[in-house]
Amino acid sequence: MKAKHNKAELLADRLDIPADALGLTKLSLCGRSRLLVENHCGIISYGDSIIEVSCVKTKLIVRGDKLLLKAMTGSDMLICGRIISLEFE
Amino acid sequence: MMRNLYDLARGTVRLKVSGAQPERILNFCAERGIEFWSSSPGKDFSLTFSAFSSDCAAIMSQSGKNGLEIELLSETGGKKLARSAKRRAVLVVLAAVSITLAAVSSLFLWNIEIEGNDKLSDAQILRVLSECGVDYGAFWPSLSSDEVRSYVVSEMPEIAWMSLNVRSSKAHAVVRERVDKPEIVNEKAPCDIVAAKSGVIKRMSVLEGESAAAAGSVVAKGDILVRGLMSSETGDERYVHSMALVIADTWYEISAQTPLNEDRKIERGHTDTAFSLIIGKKRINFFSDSRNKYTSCDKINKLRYISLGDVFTLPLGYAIERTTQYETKPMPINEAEAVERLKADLRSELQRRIGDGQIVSEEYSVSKTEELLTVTLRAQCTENIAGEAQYD
Repeated sequence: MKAKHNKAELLADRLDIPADALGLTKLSLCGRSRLLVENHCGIISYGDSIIEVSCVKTKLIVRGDKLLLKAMTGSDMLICGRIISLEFE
Repeated sequence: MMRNLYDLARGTVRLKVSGAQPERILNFCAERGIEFWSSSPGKDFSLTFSAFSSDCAAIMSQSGKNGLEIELLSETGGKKLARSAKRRAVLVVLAAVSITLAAVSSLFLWNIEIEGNDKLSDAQILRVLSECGVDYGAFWPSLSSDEVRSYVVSEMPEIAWMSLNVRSSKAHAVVRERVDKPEIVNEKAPCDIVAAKSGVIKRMSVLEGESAAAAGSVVAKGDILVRGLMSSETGDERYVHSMALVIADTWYEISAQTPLNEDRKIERGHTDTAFSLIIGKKRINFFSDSRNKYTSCDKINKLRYISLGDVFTLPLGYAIERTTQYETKPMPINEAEAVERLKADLRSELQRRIGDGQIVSEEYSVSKTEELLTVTLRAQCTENIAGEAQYD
């Protein structure tokens, strides 16, 4: 799986196309209060201070205060609140 | 606001999900394309969020699966609103009829405003506008602004330009009145320069013609200052259009009077109020006698149409006519104020008479008889006294 993932990134680099176009997760952080997660695979846990999001081959952990899932579709998710850290597992 | 109305029309539900992993329901919604908002996690493995009523069944179908329990907390708008509306059918019908009437009435003109007229009265312009269809109760979508403008400009030569803007049931006509042509002076017609006023000439600048007076001369009104008939060394004579600047000292004595007693209104306490209802062009009076009951009275009319800002104006309104009886009683005037007022009037009158001239000195004197207060202005001015006198 790791090799396949690397292949996707490699292909994106070689063809000079955005990696998210090949299905990789894209994070857009606006200031420290708005985080847009594109190409996610679902939410794992949801709390005021921590939101765990399943991404392609990894898990994104958003820590902060008064976190709120503002909007969510099958591929995109907007998290608002005071974001302290982003971690990958 | 539009969003709230949309939500109210579609109907929204507030749901509480409890179980081991309540987040699963959010994933379910996201995968199915079910819109949700205001999600907030609870402390006891629960989650609350809002969704549209139409999606409620799909979400509730997940209750009992994967260890999730879904509870409907509240429901607003949509079907619930329709159910409550059924119980208040009359109210709903009335509201619908009111909205329909307001919407339909906005297609007709119920308010016409005119701006920019100075010489012409509103009534004159309104009359011409009504001739071309812009009248109270007119169906405005059938009006053409260009046609109205062409008609009004052709019918009223005093108007140079007009614009008609219709916003809902309110028409706003902006007019620009024609500026009068200035008097054209024939600069080739032979003429003399005469003294327009009596005075002592301070200096003269003759541009054309033969000088008949000199600086220091005392001239009376009508005296010739520059002749238009010029002679040459060969003995020939020719007529020219005389031109000159003749600056002279002039003196004025102007008086103004005011009576020492003036009639003032004193209310006698009788006030009648008459109410009328206005529906379209019709006026329904709620009083029987509209004649004046008093010989001396003030009448204040207030006309109001029911409107929502500048957007909607309904053909429904009211008029209140308040009649207050008064009597007049001669009262002494405030003399100091009257003197100041007369002085200001005299000065403005002097300024009007001398035009671009300057006031060198001014002196006021006040005299009083039994009935009249007289203020006299004596002033010395410097001004151009040259005036053209055409040959017959």
